[in-house]
Amino acid sequence: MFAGSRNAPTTEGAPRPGDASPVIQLVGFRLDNEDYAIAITRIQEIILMKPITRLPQVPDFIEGLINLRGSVIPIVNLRKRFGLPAREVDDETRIIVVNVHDRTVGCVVDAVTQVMRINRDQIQPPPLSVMAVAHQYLSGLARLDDRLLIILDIDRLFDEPSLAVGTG
Amino acid sequence: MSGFNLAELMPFYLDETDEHIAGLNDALLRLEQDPADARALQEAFRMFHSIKGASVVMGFDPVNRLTHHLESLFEQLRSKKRQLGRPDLELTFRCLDTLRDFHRDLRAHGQSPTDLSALTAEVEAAVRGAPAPPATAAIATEPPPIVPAPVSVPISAPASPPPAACFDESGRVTVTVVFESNLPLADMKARLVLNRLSSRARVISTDPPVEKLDEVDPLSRFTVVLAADAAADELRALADVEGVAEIRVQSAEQSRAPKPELEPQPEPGAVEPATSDAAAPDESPAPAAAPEAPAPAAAAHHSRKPRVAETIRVDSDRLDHLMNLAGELVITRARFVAIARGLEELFRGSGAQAELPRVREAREQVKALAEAIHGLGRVSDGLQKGVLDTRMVPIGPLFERFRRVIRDLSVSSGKEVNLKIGGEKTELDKRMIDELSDPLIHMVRNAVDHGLEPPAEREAAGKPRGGTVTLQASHRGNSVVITVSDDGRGIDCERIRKKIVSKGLVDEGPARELSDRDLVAYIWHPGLSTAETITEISGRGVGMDIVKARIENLSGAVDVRSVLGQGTTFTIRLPLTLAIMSSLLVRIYDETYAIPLDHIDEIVEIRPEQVYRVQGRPAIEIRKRIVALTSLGDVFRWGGRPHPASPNGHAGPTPETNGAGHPDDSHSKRIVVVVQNGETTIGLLVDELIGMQEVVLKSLEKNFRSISGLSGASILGNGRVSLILDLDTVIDMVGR
Repeated sequence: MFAGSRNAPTTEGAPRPGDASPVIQLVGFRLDNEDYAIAITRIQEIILMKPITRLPQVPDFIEGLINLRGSVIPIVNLRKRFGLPAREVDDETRIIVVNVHDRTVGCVVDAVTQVMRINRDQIQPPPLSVMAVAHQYLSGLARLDDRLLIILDIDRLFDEPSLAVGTG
Repeated sequence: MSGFNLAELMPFYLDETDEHIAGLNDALLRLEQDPADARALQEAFRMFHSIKGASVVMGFDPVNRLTHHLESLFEQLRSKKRQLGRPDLELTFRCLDTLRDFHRDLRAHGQSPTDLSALTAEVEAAVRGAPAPPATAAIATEPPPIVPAPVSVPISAPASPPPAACFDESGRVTVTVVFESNLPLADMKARLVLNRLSSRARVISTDPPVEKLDEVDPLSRFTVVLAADAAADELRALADVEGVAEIRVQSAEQSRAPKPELEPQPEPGAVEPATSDAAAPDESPAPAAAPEAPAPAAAAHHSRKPRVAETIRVDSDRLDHLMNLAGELVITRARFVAIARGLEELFRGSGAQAELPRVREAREQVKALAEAIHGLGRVSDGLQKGVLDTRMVPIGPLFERFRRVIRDLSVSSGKEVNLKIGGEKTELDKRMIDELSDPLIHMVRNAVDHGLEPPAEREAAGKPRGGTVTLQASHRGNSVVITVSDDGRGIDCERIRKKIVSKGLVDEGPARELSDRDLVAYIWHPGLSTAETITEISGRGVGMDIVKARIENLSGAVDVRSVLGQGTTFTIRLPLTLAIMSSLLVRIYDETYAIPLDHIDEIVEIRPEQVYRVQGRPAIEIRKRIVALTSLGDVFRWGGRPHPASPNGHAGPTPETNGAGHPDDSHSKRIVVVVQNGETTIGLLVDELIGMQEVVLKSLEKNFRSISGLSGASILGNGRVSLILDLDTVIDMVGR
């Protein structure tokens, strides 16, 4: 699918130190002018913004629900989630649909940038509280040309009470 | 044996064995009432035999050994070599429980730690200790032939499995094979069938005759008359060669009189001649035969059996898949309707340029589209209902299981308990039935343990010694209502009052203020049990809260009514199916919500001056009743704030003071949907009525989590998601 995918990691889940393969594939996206990435293995698809039905009784970073080919999935606004300033939806806005904890969840991002391959040894452990993102949701940082790539651990990101069953 | 995959057979084996165990429980309960019930003995014997046979195939030797000895035991009982006593009955009940546990483990974990050997030895000892030595060898292999098995085997009971001896007095069987249409070389196939059948039985004649086979063209059917005592299944298997579409096996008698059960022809040897007025033949071939004549009795019983519907076992995932597709179809149809409406309006608008023939043509096309959509609607409705029906099963079997539960409870509690069952034909979603089992068991146990008094106490209160527990099911509109009631002592509200104070749930002062209704509601509180003593079965104070949670998980509601000294009734209300709901679509703020129709009483329009204030809260009068008027803004918050499209969405006063003051903001009429949850009625303000629609319920838990006040979401014709209001909870939230 992607160039050189024969060497792509076959491991599932977020990239974590200790996984066997030396190279991981990531999908990059932008939030408030910062570069983020999620392991490609966790991404189901990337879709255009569509009408969202607002949900009551949920934190404001949950935008609501959309219909994804007959499935009803929640949409999380990552800007709001990380306390970044709000931004109007534009042509670049995308929803990254990820599979996490047996669920399908959409994440609103400013733009999707590129698919990239990174060597595991390029990834540094997250420093304590340097960014808006709490460090427990990071699986690491990587330097990409002159930019800093923030790699999210979506398992941990969605492993919290506001997204868990039964807390309604 | 290596031919088939055992893992694939496993679900069928487990389902079948479960059915047999349930049937055995039923038979034993009847035997407990009447130890000489020949029919029950026969059934028990047959079912043990079936389990045994199936367990051999699956290679479950311990089950095989145990059921083998049980079968021997029942052979002794059946053939009157042994009297059924209490020890045998208790032993068999224990075996059933153990077998049930064994198979439950098997289903859950693929293996079972349960050791059957001790029980097996016990049964074996019982069999050996029998007064007359059992003829084990004779019964170990073949199912019992239903001796003289006279003639009145109705054809209309195809699914009842007894190994039918389908021959008449002269032992003549007719096997007819119907070939697939245009089968090449049908005459060769006919000869093959004949060959195979003749290996088992002597051929008397064929139709068409063998020598004329190649003259008949096309050959569509071939009939062989055999002098055989073979079982129908065996003959069927022999006749089943490639190219055969249908096989009919009939005794000569049946072919003469296709509906024997409708024609009161006394058969010689089957029923007493009509000279005795006690056995006058009439429409019902019922218990005319005396118990001394077991064979006719068996036959009579057989023909009395109601027609068993032919069934097919289907993996429920497949049904779920079909269900989803049918749901998608409904959504797609709604989408078409929306498109057609849009087109129609478009062309209506362009009426001025109607001189253009193309516009006229397009209009015709739109009309045709609307008709096609109408047709599609009919099909999708039918399909949806059909798929829905495949999931609907009667509640009867679930209720029947309680006969055993009640028996055990009555033994363990020392109370006399009768079980009354009503509405067992009421159908509901299979999944719902599965999920209901545990809550119902808990409620029934509760009724016996806490509700019913000991016999002496009942007599002292002027009640019959035996208490009655009633299970009743019925349809009410779009819902199923199930009640569990007892005629026991009822819930003592004063005791609850003391209990909640002593447990520190409520302070003494406020507790004194609580009404009976408030107090009764505390039975749902975790950690509160009203039993004086803690029993083995219930009374640990866990359970009722779980019962409530389970039923609410099924989008249902449970309510309790109790009269001190007269009894308690639990009422469970469930949607007919989990999947589809009739609902009213409304717009509230900017969103579309679905309100389940069965909660809607009426829809009214109100003017601002019709809104009263009761203790500062708005209320309206509906049919001489004052009901609270509320808007969703009073119960819901969106991201911790009022809805941005609501009147107080823009940093206005708090919804506490003004959200409910909604009607004051507008001078025009407002629409109010009057809804109830069976007890409380409220008026819900909506901004617009959209229309009625069947919506397919999609759970929020699947990809997210449950949200109180919503029972799920659904996809509209325009592809957008609408939210389905859970009015039971919304009404609760208003009350708070």
